[in-house]
Amino acid sequence: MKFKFCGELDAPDWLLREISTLSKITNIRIKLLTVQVITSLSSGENIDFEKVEKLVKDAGFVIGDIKALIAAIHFIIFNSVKNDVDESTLSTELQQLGLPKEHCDSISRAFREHKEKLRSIFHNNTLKLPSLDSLDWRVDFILSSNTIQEVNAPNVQLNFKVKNHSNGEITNHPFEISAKKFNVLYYELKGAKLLMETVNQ
Amino acid sequence: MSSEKPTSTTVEKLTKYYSLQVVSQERLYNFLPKISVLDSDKVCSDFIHSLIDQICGKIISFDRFINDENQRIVYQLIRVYTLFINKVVGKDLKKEYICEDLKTANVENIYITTVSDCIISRFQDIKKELTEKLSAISSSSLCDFDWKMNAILSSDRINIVQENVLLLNLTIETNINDKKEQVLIELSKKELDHILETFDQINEVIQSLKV
Repeated sequence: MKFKFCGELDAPDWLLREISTLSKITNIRIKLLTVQVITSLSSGENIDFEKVEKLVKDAGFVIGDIKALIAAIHFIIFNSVKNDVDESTLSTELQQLGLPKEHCDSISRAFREHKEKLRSIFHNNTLKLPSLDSLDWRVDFILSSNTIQEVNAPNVQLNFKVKNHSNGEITNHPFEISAKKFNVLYYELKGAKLLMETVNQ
Repeated sequence: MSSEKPTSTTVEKLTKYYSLQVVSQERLYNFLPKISVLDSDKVCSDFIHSLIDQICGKIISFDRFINDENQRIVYQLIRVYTLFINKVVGKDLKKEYICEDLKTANVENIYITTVSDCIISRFQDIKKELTEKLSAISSSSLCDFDWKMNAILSSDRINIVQENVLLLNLTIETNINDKKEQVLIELSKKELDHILETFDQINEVIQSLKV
């Protein structure tokens, strides 16, 4: 059977196994666990296992079970966000996997509340090449030089501050560019923008 | 010699020549008359035009001017006339001064006319090129840029993305160790808009200076 939240693929076997573990805890606890997973996804921090342990300790789970629970919920939320599934589909599909309805509703309700936020976070965290942080500029006017006595031409100084997303470093790339070359760069980028707009339509 | 004022600009002689400011370079101009090793004024005109092409950034072969006997002289001519052209254009000399300088250097009359005609006819080209080269007098200058547009379809975190990004590659030439640095920037639509806004401002300033 294919599931939308799995990207139109079969649900992995390990998830099927963990569904039964999930069924063993109350739906309120499921909701609390889901919130924990969502918080860790949106903040990028690791899950606070001590807190999670407290949440489920009376169910008599060992640490291995708890980790499996977290992994299952993480998989469900992560893939639902990734594949842009709506909450009712998610709830239905989880029921098809054999999870009790209340449990499914707990997960999908928590998911609904945070879906857009998570999507924008995921979108921003998508692999990125270095991007422009800021651009400083200055226009100079050259009066004279050793080769030409009277120049009187404008010249542009640009400083590209480029941010590298893999290490967060910002590097400076200052350079000088003649007005003529600047003009070429300007019109090329204008053309690129136009292209981008037509492609987007 | 005192200065002459045929036009509004005053041309003063600091050395024997109008185009030279430093006496030590006069020695180089002694090679100017050797242009006569070229067979005729036609060849000479071809030679000067090739030199100007080279100054304007084209890759030119001078093989056709060279034979076994004149090889060394032709190479010297290339150097000296490149200097001469740079100097007269740099100083914005009128045709009469160019001829005057060539005369002072004892270049034969027939070549004087040819050389000065060639230079005058392409004066603006050369001047533009020399101005263009000025931005290289700096710690770093942009020597090339390339761009391409990518459409992102999908990623590990979002299944369907559909976003266009512009990849801009800048080749920056640094004058320290003559290194060329490649800078790759990925620009989203928003970032490209931001750059263009900035460029609009720069362009406005440049346009206002040109008027």
